[in-house]
Amino acid sequence: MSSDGPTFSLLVGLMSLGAGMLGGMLGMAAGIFIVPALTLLFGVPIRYAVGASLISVIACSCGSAASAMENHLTNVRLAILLEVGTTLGALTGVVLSGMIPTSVLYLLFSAILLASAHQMHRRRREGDRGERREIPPDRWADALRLDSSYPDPLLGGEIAYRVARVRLGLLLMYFAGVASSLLGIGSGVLKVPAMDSALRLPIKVSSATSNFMIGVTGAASAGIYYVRGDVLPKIAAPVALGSLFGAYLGTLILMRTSNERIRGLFIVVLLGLAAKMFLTAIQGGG
Amino acid sequence: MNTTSDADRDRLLRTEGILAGLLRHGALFAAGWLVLGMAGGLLERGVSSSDAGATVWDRCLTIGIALLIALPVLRVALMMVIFAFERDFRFAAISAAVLIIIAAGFVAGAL
Repeated sequence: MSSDGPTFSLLVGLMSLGAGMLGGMLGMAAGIFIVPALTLLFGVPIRYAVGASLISVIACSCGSAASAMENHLTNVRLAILLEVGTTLGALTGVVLSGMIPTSVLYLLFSAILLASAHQMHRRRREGDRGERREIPPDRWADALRLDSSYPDPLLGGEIAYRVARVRLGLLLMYFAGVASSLLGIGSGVLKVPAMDSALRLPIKVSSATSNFMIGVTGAASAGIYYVRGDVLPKIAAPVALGSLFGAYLGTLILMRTSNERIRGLFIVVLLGLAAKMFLTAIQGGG
Repeated sequence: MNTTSDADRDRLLRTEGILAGLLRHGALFAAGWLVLGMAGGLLERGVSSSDAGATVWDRCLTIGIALLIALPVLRVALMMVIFAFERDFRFAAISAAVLIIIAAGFVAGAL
């Protein structure tokens, strides 16, 4: 299919709309759906797919910028500190992307999709525990005043929390950044569990802080792809527009449907994509 | 006292609220350029898929994309300035480090 035709743009836009809606309903960036769709369905070489997806990751991240802030959930200082890790990772990822064979990228993608499905499954079953955990003080958290609190309407009032193991968190953010720039995803799937388990943040704070960071990581990666000429406007533009609009629609739908049902559906979608990417990798394709 | 004080937090949150608004409007603005570029390009070329070379519409797309990439970077830059204003030089430095890493990436990519 010619990448210049209006048909191509329209189809890519529609696909992105769908991906954006999925992402919007799940509270994640659409990159994880967009890259497989572009490569498997549209036959776009993975470097251009990643480039285009990163632009849409930024667009969706900026487009939904206000909500978490309004809830006072984001730990801004922590986010900026962790962004040192993610941007370094993004740099590394772009350097690596030239050296890693495409089939390995597909395999990595498959693994990430599986991890996402697994996480979604766990969230379905466990819900938000809201438990108080004993967290030993962390030198960096104290020195940089990272400990904070967030308002929780369910538990009532402001809940204070401490930040644990900051250096481990930075390391994990580094890997999240590498994944983000290699695969063109927002890496929320890696960031949130990292913040949840390593940093011991309350899950709502993890999600909000992760969303806050995704735009910067995306921009760091996307900028490098862009100067290398790996961002094709004819692909990136419909992807960005479609996913932006789709994410908006997705959040509207989210308000009207049950979380359970949505999660169940998406676990199926993620597993299907994981299988397809895996098979493509094995067949040496890509 | 190791937690950030309430006044600290509130001030930071207010400014973040402004930054978030800028991001959202910025994204919309960038999207506008993308729509312009796509619509103009499609209308001008009609249904044929011949590539006429770089047109003004392609440049609109480029502007939109560049804006999107710039927005989060701008946010970090603004945060750096705000931290400096609040005499929180540690975090101003950390923000600066993020900017330097990003810039280094762009330069390395262009080589």
